Amino acid sequence: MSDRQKSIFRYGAIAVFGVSLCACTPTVRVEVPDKPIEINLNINMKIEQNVRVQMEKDFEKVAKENPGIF
Amino acid sequence: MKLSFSKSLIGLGVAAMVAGTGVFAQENTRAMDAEKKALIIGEMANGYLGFVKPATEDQIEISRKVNEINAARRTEYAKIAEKNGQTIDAAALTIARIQIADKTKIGEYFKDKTGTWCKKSSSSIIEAKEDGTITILCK
Repeated sequence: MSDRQKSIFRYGAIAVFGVSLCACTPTVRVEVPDKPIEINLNINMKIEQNVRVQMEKDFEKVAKENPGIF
Repeated sequence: MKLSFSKSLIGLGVAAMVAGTGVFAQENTRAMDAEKKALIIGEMANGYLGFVKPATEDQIEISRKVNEINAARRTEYAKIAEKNGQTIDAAALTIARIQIADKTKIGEYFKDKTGTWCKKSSSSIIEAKEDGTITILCK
């Protein structure tokens, strides 16, 4: 095999591989329509006590103003 | 003395009535109350509502409502967070603890901090400590 033939063969192989990858893509597509908000919690998160108490007070007010969501 | 005793009795009575209506109001205004009682959805430690089991096709309407409520909650968490110089997640966690500790009944589902769904029981640990840690655990 000449060098020219080798390089044609090599590029051909790469092209075939690329095309086959493209062909596969739609089957691994993950559909996530309209999903609820998912948040990964930082389990070790700390909230200063006085800040927490203040946020709880704020929440009381918010909950009264938005009875349908809490 | 007698007068103050009867006064305090009246006071107790009024307090009991106020407490009573408070509980009543809370039960009625709870979001997705029926679905929580039916053990379809529950409160999650991240501050949002979630399905205990993946939603089925006939639960699309519930799913839509859950998403709507969660989006609205996020807006409110963001406001509380900003006011207090905290992240949205911190505000959400703070409020999740109240939702699960006070508004979720024994026997109803909640999702704990490890990502486990369970029925709330007397051995569930839902607490905020002085050192700033908030625990929401099934146990």
